[in-house]
Amino acid sequence: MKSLKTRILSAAMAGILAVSMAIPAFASSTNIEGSYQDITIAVLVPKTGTAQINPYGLPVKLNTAGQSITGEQIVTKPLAIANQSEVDLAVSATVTASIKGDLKFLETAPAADDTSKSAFVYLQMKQESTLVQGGLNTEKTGFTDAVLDPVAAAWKQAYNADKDLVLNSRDTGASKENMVFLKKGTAPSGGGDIMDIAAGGAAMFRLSGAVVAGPREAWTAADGFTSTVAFTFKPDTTAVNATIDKTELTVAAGANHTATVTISGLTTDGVNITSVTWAAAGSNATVAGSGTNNTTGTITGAAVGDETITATVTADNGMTYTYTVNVTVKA
Amino acid sequence: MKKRLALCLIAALLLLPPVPARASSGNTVITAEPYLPDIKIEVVVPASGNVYINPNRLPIEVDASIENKQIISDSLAIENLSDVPLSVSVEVTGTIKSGSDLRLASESTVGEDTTAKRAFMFFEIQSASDPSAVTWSNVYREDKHILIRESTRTGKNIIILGAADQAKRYGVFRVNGDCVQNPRDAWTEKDGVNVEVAFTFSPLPVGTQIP
Repeated sequence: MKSLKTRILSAAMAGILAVSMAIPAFASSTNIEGSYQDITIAVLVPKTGTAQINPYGLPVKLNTAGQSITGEQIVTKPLAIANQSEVDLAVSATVTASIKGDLKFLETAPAADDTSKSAFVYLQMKQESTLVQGGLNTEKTGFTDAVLDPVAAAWKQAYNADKDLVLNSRDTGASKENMVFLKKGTAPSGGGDIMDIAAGGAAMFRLSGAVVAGPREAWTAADGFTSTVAFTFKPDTTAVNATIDKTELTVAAGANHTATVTISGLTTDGVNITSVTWAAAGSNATVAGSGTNNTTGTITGAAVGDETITATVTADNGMTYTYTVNVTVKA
Repeated sequence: MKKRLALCLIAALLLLPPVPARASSGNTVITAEPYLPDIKIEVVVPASGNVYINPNRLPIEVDASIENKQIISDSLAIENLSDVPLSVSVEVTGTIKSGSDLRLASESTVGEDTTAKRAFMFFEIQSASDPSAVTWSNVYREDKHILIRESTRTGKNIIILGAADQAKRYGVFRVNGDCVQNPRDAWTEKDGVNVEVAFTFSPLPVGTQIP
């Protein structure tokens, strides 16, 4: 009986073991949940602005400090937009305009013998690195005149068909994409969701142009126009297609190795590299740039250890892109 | 035996579209109006000058230098004191002095086989930053100079003067030419020409390139 009990018990144990072997171990669950990451785009945009048709390019005073805009036939009181978002932004614009009086818009600069009351007006934008958080007014609704006026007074920029947006009086107006790029903001100094404006995060804009100074029918106070500049801000996806051919590198102390940043057709809208700056974080290796736009970095091991080399690529969209080479220096 | 239920959970990866490039926007309405302050045109214009007919090319001192041309005039200057550049037009009228039988010629008398008392005179003007440092060409050019006749000749937009704070704010002008050296009826003190120059100034935009 005892033997039978033992056998039954053994059989039961074996059965349990067999069953336990047959059943897989209890599985822990991995639940990967995708969710939409909202991007808040916050940009300071002035609601209104004023411009003057200044046929003789006379000095137009900006303030009592004596700053003025001279030699411009279309003078715009300084205006700026600023990125308070967590992402870099590409700025596009659509401009519509309605005319007062018998003014007409031209699509090119007026000829010297043009006697019609006409104006060639275009929207210009430029990233302005001096406009940062500290330049905002008390209400944080825009930059102070003290910050904007000197920039506007010194702003000399000839018409560029590729970059500027010419006004017309058509209902649909005129549009241009990626007129300027704004760097993302930095962590808000005062708390909250609105980022602080970083260097490169703001851009000046203005209407500029040329008019017929002495038209057959003289300029009067009844002449003028109203334009609406509609900005569209999108996260900047115009990544620079620069590649670096080495991201890891082992060099002997005192030996030269070359890391090259290859600048190839930057993706969209004719973005071009303007320069590359090379830097070593420590002293285990040195780096020197050379070649067109400094696109070649020559890395030299100095002392045994690790070193981080950074190539900072600046593009003419006003943005910078960083590439890293991790260097190991051997004896 | 305690039954154990094996739960095999399949990880569900919900593939969501990449973060959309959500656009934001903002409008600025810009109102443009004319800026039309009164433009004060202020130009210093000399009231008079002298022109010498010097048939025998005698040395004559003019503007601290010795000239021996047949038609010599003071080098005169207008000066723009305005805030804007100016386009200058001129009307030039020659009048023979009463009692003179001089006639104004339409082309140079040099090498001309004539004994008539004739003078070829033309008006020339150029913009300059320093009126005392001007170089002249003595060759008449129809497109640059104004022939002086006994009728009014016009030179429209003949030069541009820089604004008061610009270079080339002066317009330096003179009368040049030649004359028959030995006319049948000799030159006398009765011979002479009054040349009246009337200037018209039109404002131009600041920043206009001054040739």
